[in-house]
Amino acid sequence: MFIVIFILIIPLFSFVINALLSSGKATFGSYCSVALLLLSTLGAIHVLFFIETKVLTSQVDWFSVGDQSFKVGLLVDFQGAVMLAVVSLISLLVHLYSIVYMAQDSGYGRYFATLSLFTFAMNGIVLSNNLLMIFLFWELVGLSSYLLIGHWYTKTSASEAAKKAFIVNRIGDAGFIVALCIVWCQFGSFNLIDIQSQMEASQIQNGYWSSELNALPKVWLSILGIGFFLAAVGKSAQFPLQVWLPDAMEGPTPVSALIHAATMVAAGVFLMSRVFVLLDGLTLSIIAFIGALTAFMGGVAALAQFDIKKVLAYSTISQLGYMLMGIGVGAYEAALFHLFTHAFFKAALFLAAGSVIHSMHEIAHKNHLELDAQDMRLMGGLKSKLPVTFYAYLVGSFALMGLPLFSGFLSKDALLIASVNWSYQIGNVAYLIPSLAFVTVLLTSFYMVRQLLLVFFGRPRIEISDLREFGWHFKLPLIVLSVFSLGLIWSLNPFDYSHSWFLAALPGKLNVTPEFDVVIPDLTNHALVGVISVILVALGTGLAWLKFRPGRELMLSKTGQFTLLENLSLNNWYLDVIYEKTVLRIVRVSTSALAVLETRVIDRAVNLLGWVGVVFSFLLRWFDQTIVDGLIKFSAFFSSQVGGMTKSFQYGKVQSFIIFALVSLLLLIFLIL
Amino acid sequence: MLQAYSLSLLIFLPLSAAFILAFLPKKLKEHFKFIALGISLIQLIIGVYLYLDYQPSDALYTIEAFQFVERVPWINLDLQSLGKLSAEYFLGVDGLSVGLVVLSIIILLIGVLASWNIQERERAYFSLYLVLNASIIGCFVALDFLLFYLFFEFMLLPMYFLIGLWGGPRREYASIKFFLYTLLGSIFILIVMIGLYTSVIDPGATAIELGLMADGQPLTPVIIDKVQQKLQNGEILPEQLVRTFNMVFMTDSGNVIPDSFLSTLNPQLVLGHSARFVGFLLLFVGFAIKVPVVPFHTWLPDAHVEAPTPISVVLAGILLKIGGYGLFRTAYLMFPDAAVHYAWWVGLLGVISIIYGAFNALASRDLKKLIAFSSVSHMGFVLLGLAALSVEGVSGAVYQMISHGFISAALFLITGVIYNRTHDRLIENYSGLASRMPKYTVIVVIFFFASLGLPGFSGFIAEILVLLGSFGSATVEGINLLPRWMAVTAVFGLVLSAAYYLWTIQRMFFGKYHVKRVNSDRIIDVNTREFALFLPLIVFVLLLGIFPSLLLDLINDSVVTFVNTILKF
Amino acid sequence: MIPVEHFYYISAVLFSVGLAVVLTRKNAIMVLIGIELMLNASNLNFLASNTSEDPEGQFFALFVIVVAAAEAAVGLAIILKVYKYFKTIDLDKIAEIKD
Repeated sequence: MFIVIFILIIPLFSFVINALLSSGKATFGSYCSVALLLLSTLGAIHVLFFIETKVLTSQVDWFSVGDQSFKVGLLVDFQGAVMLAVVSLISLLVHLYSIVYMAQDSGYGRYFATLSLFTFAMNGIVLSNNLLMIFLFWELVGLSSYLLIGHWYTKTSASEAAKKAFIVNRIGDAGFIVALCIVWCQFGSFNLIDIQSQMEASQIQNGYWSSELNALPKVWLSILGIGFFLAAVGKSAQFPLQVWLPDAMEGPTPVSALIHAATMVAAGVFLMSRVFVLLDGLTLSIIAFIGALTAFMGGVAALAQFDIKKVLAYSTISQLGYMLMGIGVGAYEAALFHLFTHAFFKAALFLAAGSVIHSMHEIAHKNHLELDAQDMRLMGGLKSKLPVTFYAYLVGSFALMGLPLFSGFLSKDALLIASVNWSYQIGNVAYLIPSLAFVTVLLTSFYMVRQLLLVFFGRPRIEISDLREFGWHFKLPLIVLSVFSLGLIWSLNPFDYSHSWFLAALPGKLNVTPEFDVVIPDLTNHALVGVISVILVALGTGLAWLKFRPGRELMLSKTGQFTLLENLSLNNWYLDVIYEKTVLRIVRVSTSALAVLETRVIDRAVNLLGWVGVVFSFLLRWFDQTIVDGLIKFSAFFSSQVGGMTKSFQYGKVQSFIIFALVSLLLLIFLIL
Repeated sequence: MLQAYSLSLLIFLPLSAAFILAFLPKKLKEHFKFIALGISLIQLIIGVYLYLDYQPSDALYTIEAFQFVERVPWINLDLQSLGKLSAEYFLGVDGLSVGLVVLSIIILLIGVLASWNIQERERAYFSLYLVLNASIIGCFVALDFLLFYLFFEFMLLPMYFLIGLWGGPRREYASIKFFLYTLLGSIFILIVMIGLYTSVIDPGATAIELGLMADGQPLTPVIIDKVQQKLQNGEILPEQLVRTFNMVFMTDSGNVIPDSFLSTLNPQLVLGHSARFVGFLLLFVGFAIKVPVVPFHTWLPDAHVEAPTPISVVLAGILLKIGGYGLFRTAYLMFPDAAVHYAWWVGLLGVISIIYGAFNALASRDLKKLIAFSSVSHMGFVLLGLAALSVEGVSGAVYQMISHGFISAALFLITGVIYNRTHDRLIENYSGLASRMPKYTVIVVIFFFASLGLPGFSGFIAEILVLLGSFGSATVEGINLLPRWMAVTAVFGLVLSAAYYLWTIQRMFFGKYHVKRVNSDRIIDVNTREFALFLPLIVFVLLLGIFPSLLLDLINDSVVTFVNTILKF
Repeated sequence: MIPVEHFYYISAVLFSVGLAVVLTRKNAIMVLIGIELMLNASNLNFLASNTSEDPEGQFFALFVIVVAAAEAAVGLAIILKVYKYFKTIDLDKIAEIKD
């Protein structure tokens, strides 16, 4: 267990070193990070080899509220160990790669600090044994992603993209929090193992979902699943929240490789596999449908892009859609399998793309050109100049397209078969899902071949004669990642995923969700599916070759007119525009409406109240001055009048006094008598 | 010595210092701030002692449930047939208040440091500040309603002058608005206080009056039971009743005189509601103004925007919490039946505050106003957690008060930094500050993320607890006090808070450096003194985010008692 | 024996004359004389009502004579002073008390 804690802590340590080092020593810090991550990778590989089917877990109290205690704890099982190894290894390679890639950057230290923080957080997600901790690291991953996308913060587009990524993710996190609330309410625990056993014990009766602790209306079980799925939709860039990922390409390319292709975006899939037991039939169908739809939409959006990274970004969205579709059809192990193979080949593609972009920058710098280093319309013929990059790209592309002998074939095959079998069982509309998946295979091969042709083949479109490939910092990661994209690494029989050591090591079916039977993927349609997908790949390749074969300079002018489909693809189905017109507008309108309510209504009401008070006071003053005061004044006036009147008698003549006295005396006497 | 008088020391140190300041010669004016600082440092030592020496206790609401108790008779009047009046100088803390006392001490210390550059009328400023200091602490430790009310009202005076004399351009409007608003609330509280006073007896003193025990003898539960039984059976003559302002006795429903106005048995209706419900509502509104809860919040943006930075810090950091604390200590504990009855409405107001505050923050163009509205939004969580009456919810509410105390203090310091330099807080006038003020940007990012509830910071623990607690709110007669959609809606507030904070960061700090209508030479990074203000806040926010037990262990038992006391009713 | 009523008639006449003098004459000396007349009228009353068994009337009459003498002395002294101050003893002209 200590080695696991060690693996978890190391990147944090590396973060602290990089964050505290002054900028002068940043290079030292980055080598420190690489060394530390090498350690943790070795540790992770060690864990992977001894874990087999064991499940290690331990936890301690974190804090307690009432008699409930919240724990922190670690859980290592086989899928976690593989994920840990993958994350550590790719992170190590990306750190290494970044040393050269980011060498001239002013935020070098900051970059490495955040990258290490990301690795720490990602390891945290993988190793946590409870959902609260997963959420904690989930958010931390979001933060580091935000910081890395916005690394070049002076660029408005980068900072906009960072903001967008975080906010869109936050919408997903809202789902996560709601799901956490339901889990806590229902099970009183966040521990994954507890949840699994309690879920097995829970029942659905009379429209209520009851656990030992509590009973909720059945619909909350679906909301629970949808909440987690929403979190995954945000993190894994699924429809309808996929809009942030293409923009996230504003970040440095190694970051795109690590975070926005290999690991973080896959965290959604990983989470779904962790909470797989909590997903009910309805949720799984939704997941399958959204996954397949996203795969298709991403594939279409990748077709007409000219930015080398955007193609890969949309392809990532598309592949993540595959994985979630796999979760949805119940083949969570196939989804995880695809997650791991995809992590390597997509990282290889991104790092190779980074190498291309870096070279383009060099050219621009040397020749004092103003050009967009990511625009594929300016590339071409790089095959001979960047051989290692080219072969890495080639291997990565083949794996992505799903050519036999490459890793992608195995995992994609597993997913496709699962979806086909699932749709057989459900029938009707369910056929839509494998259909979309198959169409996406075609699309994938089309855009990847298009990209290969545009970037590496044909004549160079700008002057590249003095271009040389960069050193081992670039080459080593590319080679390692390419090797892991080969089918042989994952399965001894590269045509049959069922021989894969990975799938064999995963525990059996996690079919505990009440009222739902997970389809057990069998090999019934194996041959058929494999053949169809290869045919589709060939078809896509052929189409791309027809359209973009060297020598054809079609559609490459920036001013050219685009067809409707191309526009749709370029603008990612106009999702941004639609959101701008709908969601954002609603938020803006309600914001300004509430602001108006605040200043015009509530504040004015208060001021009106104050004003009424003042008016009332004035009235009171008038009342006070005229009536109350008037009474007093009147009495004073009255007495003074009376006094004046009586005074007039006293004119100072002694004899008149005596007369008055006499008269009064007489009157008195008369009255008495 | 310290054990016995620490709370009095906390109150009277600043008070006497304020008195001394008033008589010091003017030529010493450069040293006034050192006096204030010294007092705050001594308070900090006492505060640390309080924190370390406080023993969590789950005693029910009797005097034994409180620690550092000081109890001295204060006002004793024999009113013949109306019984006897007694008010005490009664101080003490329990888990609900001890954290807030320590928070106040820390924030007040930071407030002194933030006032370092006050250049005009130092004597008046620091005297008022010290008076404010004393009355804030007094509010948190007073256990006698009259004493509490005294401190509560006393706070208004220095606050009014501090905003009205040292504030921004519209300070007079803001200070009057603040004053009138809170005064209105105080009047409601006063009414209920008098009502409670006429309805509650002091069992100890009544026992002496009845001859059940001798003067000076300790009050045992047996005697209390006897007195309460006699009281409920109507066996005590009116002139033998000793009425009290003691909040602990007010909490115990056995001490309520059966035929009194606020008795549960009183069939009389006020405006169509039972008197107790009206009492609860009045107290609720009185303290809700302070919290502030939408729609009683409009004083807050104005007061914050116009107040000088240190006063904003104190206002947001502590004064708002007095409203929350008042709800805990009085409205909820004294009227548990009404609290349960109105839980739905209180929860609704909490959710409205969260969403409404967030939307208004999103609409604000003034940085300080944005943060003021975010305060409204975050204090909504306190209300929501409290309304849920579940252990998680109430713990979350207390946690949120303390966490928000630190975070909002820091946020107002942040606006103070930029305002000090440029006297302009309009967000749109700045862009790309990160390149000119890197350290400042790091601080801003840390606190903005802390405030939007990023895990690892204290706000996350508070908000997740409130959400868990309000989703699984307490059940009364098999029905949840709060419907589940409230928690779900409150989650939406978290999304909005991310939106307005990130929008602000992106707008002000990222992008190309560019300022409008502001002298660019004044844009310089934070200096060491300013940095020193933020450092402890960062440490606290992180500590509370990573090791929540530091605080939760302190409040846990009291919260459980609190919830049980209310639900038992 | 003269019936006692006759004394009363004379006394009443004398008193009325004195009163008339006091009320009508402008000269302060004359007013003083009027007062003396009224006092003597009352003396006459006292003496008329006097009997041998009840000699209080005589005592009162003697007392009144003494007081009248003193009063006349004081009154004359005041008049002298008034004359010195106002150079007149016309009561209508000495209206200092008014205003």
